Amino acid sequence: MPLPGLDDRMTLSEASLALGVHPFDLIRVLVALGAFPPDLHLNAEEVERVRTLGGLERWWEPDSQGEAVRRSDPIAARGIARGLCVQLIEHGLLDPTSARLDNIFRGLDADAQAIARAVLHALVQEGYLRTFNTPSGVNVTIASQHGENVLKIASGDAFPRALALLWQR
Amino acid sequence: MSDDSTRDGLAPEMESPALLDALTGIAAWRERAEQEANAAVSELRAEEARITAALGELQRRLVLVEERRAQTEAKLNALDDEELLRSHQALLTALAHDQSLLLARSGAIASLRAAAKQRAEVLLRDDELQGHLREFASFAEVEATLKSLPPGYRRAILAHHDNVRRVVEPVLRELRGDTVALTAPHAPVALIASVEPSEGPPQALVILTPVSADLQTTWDQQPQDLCASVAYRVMAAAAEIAARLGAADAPIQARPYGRFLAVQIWLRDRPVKGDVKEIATAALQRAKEQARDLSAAQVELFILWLPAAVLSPPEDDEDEGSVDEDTEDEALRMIASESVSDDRLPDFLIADPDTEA
Repeated sequence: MPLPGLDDRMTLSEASLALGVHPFDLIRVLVALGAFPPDLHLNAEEVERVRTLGGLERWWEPDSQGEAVRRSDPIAARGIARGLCVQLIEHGLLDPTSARLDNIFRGLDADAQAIARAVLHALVQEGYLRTFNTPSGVNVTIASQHGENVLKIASGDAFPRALALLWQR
Repeated sequence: MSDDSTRDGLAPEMESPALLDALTGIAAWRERAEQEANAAVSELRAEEARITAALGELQRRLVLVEERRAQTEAKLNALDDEELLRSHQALLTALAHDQSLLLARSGAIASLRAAAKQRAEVLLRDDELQGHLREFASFAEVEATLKSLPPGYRRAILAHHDNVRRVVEPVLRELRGDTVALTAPHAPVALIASVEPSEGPPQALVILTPVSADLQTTWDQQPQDLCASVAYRVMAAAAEIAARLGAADAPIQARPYGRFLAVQIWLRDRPVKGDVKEIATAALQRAKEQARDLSAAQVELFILWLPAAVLSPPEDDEDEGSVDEDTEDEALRMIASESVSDDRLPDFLIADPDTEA
């Protein structure tokens, strides 16, 4: 028997797990939305609202184009780099459009996340991507002058040196 | 003229030449004088030796006094550092103490919650109560139709619903955990806050919590206890503080401070509105007032402001081992790091229920 406001209550830790976000990031989203719960619990409806309003997206779905590109590449790190760029393009993240940085990791397993993190570092280092802080966390965007270069990575045509080192060493 | 005068007025004959007598006298005098002088010289030499020895002793004491004065002056000069070091050690001890307290109270609260759940389960065995609960749960649908009903019906339905609510309230209170409250003594727990630098435009605000730094990576492997409650509330307060300072987009990071969790707001290069300490104290105070779970555990949060130097004290060569080197390193990194504002990539695994499974 469902009890209103009781059965579907989740702790912030449980809600974070359900949303695939670190609790500290969830808290920043909640504070930015003016929805931080004093009892540190959210119900299912609130969790869904946070997912939508907070822009918490899961990009690496089995049927996503980025996932398909990732799986098609015989070299795992290169596949993740290409798939990640496909995801960024698919989501239209050319500056000034941006999205939460952690969206890039959601749906990847632990090993793939570690590689994706290294890919991101390389792309930020090369200036292809730009990260910046927002009230609800860190966002990422493709630097406007590097849209073509990100496309080339996605298609596997050209890779900046710092990125290629990830699978050539 | 003496009676010895000769008749012819001449001096009487002496038994030995006068000069000899004189010389003999002189020799005797000389001998006496020499003995006296030798005796005096010996005495003076002895005195001289005594004085020299005394001087040596005084000189030695002078050196000792000079050394002690120098040491005392050095101690005096080192009092600031010593004070910082002792304050830092006290800070670490207090964090460890408060962490133990939070863990102990978390355990006690968990037991009380389990007991409340058991009581609720016992109550829920009552079929009649279950019927009331079903009715109570379905009231939302009824409520939507109330407006269309005549006032008399509406009043009757609402009165009935109030009765049902009174009946089910005890079990709801158990399920919500409203009955959970420790009878343990009131326990203060400190949050340590610090602004860097102490004077001038603030560059960073740090809040140290008595929560294990491991929470950052193990939050999904443990229940949300009082330690998590403190950490989550501090993070929420930090976000609120940044927003109220007009720096909502300032980097806010949870980082290890030794084995404890610290939350820091990097304000560098951001013009802030208002007084950082005032705004932070108010936000943390609000967080404390909202924390019913901590009240139920008889835990009260206190906010203590310390100079940033206490968080990263000078190195102490004399008292090795008294300060956890890792802690010190972390503190220094935390306060002094220039690169943190560029460290924007998350350094944790994004939890995902699907991939976790």
